[in-house]
Amino acid sequence: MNEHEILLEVRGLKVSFHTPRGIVQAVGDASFQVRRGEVTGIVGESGSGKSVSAYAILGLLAGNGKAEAGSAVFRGRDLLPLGEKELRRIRGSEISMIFQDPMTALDPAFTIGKFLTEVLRSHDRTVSRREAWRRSIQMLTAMGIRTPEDVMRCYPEALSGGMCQRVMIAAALLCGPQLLIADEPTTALDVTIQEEILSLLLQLKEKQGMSILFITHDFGVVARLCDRVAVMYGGYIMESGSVEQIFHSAVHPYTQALLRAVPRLEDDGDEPMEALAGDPVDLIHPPQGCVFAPRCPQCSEECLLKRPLTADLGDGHTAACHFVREGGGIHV
Amino acid sequence: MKRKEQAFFHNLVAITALIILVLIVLFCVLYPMFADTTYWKISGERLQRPSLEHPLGTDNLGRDVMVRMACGGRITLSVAFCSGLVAAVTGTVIGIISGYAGGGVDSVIMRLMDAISSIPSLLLAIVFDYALGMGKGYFLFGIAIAGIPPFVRLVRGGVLEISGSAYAEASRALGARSLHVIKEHVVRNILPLAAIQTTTSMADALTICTILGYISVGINPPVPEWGALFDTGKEMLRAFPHLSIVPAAAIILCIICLYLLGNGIRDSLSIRGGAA
Amino acid sequence: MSELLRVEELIKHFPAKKRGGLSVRAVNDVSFTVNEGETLGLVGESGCGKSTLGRSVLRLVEPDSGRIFYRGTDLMKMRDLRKVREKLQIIFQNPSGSLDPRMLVRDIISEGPRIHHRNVSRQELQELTGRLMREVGLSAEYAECYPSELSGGQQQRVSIARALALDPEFIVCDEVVSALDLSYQSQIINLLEALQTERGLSYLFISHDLAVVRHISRRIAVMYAGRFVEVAEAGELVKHAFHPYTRLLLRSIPIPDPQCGRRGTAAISAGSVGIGQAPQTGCAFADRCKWARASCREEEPPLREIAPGHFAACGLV
Repeated sequence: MNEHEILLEVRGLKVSFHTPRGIVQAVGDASFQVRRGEVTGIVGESGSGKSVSAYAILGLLAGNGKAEAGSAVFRGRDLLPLGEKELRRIRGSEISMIFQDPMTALDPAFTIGKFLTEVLRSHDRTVSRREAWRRSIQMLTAMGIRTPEDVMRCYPEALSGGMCQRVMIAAALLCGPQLLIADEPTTALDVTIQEEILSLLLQLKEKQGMSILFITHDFGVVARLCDRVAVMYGGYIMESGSVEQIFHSAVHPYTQALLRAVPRLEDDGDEPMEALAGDPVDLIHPPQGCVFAPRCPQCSEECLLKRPLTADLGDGHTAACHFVREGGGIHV
Repeated sequence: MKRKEQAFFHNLVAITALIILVLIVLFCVLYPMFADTTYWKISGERLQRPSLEHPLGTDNLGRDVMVRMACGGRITLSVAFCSGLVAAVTGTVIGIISGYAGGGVDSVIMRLMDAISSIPSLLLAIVFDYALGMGKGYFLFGIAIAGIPPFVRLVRGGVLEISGSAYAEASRALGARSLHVIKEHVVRNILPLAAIQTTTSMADALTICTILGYISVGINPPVPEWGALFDTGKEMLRAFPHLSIVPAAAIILCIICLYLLGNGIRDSLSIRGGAA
Repeated sequence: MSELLRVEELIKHFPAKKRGGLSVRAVNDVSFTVNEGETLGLVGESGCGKSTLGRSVLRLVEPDSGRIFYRGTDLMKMRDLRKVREKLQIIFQNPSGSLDPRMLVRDIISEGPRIHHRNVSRQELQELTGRLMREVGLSAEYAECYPSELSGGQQQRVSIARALALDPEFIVCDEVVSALDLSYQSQIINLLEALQTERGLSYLFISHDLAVVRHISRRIAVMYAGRFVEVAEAGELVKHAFHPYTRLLLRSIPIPDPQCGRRGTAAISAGSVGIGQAPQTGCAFADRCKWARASCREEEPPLREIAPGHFAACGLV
């Protein structure tokens, strides 16, 4: 297995939603990649387009949304032009997804057992009920659940949030996907449970060599889990690179500002918190230049007029800022 | 409030429906005043074709159909509007009481509403007409009462939702009494729901009223009513189709317009989302 | 610093949903004090009863028993709370839900004064609203907006302005930044701190995020299953946490630094999970505690002072 094999490569993705108030450009231009056996994080605030990008890849956009440009090549095949029927074959078996709120993602009318065996059998009719049951139990055990038989007989309402999310992950992994897309899977959970789910995901990555595209707003989770990170704002990738590059040598003013705004335990509270002034981008009327320019402390005239190109800083580190030069130099 | 009105006027369908309804009402009110005949007067030969003198011709007794349509519309529409309004006002008040009082009061009211809605509304109207005196228009109350339960359920549900909402709790935290919460928050948020239900309820009342006219209950000849006009016309459907088509079309048009109006009100009063 | 609010032995149980089920002990014998100008932080996981506690203190949820002293008067004995409502306020988690969607921002902010002072003129209200909006950093143009036309951060500023309109002394902040984006979160925290300095406010700051609570609070109380399990000065709690639950909480918080040495899968062995119900006797945390002894499951440990100003409720003390 090639270590740097690229499993999913998204290039120039552009997604718009038609609403009564106008066209919302949720994603303006997003390019990122997921390598085999790695966790790639997309981090951003609400409205940054991080979830929409993932939904667009799997053709799960709402009816008024459309991927207008770009490509999403998964194992040599572009997913964006595919029809619903082909996508459905890929979803669940080759690419799986888990969501923010595990409680609502489970149908309250089915037991966990019924749900899991149906997931398996809907992708492969040749699997017998007994076999499906056996494999479901196996999968729940792999999720660290001590009493899988009891859980299989439960209805979702009897389970806690963390347990539901384990079941959802089990369901996502039943058909042995190569890529797991996780959309804020721990945001609705308590930190102690979040920690358990994160270490479960890391185990799965290491043992099964699974690749994960992890969408989150939490830098702490990114640091804990991800190998590579893309920072998104207003529908554009601001900066991307390895976790070390993003956390220790971020060059984009947005990344720097966000990292300073992260509340830290060692902060004794004597100083006011670093705040990022202003409001997020109006996605119906995005600014002409850099989307971050109106809030940027370093903003220049050029920033307001021209959208910055993505500069390659070497070693897979890229940033889209007028103050960042190709090859790594930062000019002020 | 200004922006909400603007939103309504941007809704072309609803505004067209409203204009059509207003025109129909104006026609019903004004036409008989300026016509030189009236609904019971025999003003010419029987069963004339439409002409300048009688724009819709005359009926089997020689009465002007146009003027009978207008006068019938006065009856039909006022029954529809009045009973719809009565149902709306009583239903909203009862719904607020039921939702806010809760407990025993609430269960008594809700069981009463179940009882009312188990009686077909047509039957209720006929019973009121027979019991309280025929031909005096008491059937209107029957129609109105039949319209109350859906209002009560809708408003009660809304009250429960709103009084459990975080903003009602915030209001209580500011020191507000129940009455203030009802006035400031519940009524404000219930009204749009009630407005939509009112148009629906008027359309239902209109249907029942015309059915009553069709089966000759409640309104006695020679007073015209759209349902009754359709009834007389249908016997001459082959030879004089306009005699039945015109009242039928008027009924259908009014009902459609009321529904479209309701949809328009809902769209303009719905809360528009934030950024997206 | 003089004492502003003292809560003693507050209890609130909710009846079981199913017949024969166990009642939910949302708040179970909680006592604390808040001094003038002080922030008491309250952390705990969802369902631990922290929001119920915040509401019970203001009697928005009627406590089963206990005493709540505000400047010496027991709120539990008061018939009409309207007078003290002016001085004790609350700000809720979900800014969009706690603002009436059909009211203009200016009407929302002036609701309190309209309730309490019937004879205020329109102009006075307008001036007050304008002043409050400036104070919380909202530009005047938003006065004529509906909440849905505002961003989350702006909505939360409106809630803060509404709470300030009655000139309170004590505000319960119930997860006020949890629903907000990172950049808004720090804006709101800074605003709350600035208001505290200017107006001498006291806060009960409830959050599930220990890092945020640590920043804003002087003292922190950790709540688990309806009880305070540990109370200490903020710095002390983070550095010398005693209770196993507090320690688990501290270790679980993801550190925003990839080189903190916590990238491994086995950093925390939380153990495998089954379907469990909170025990009814003994320490509620015993089932999740790796140091739990037999005695922990029998007797509920009381909150004891283990160091000056540092309290913990653990059988291992």
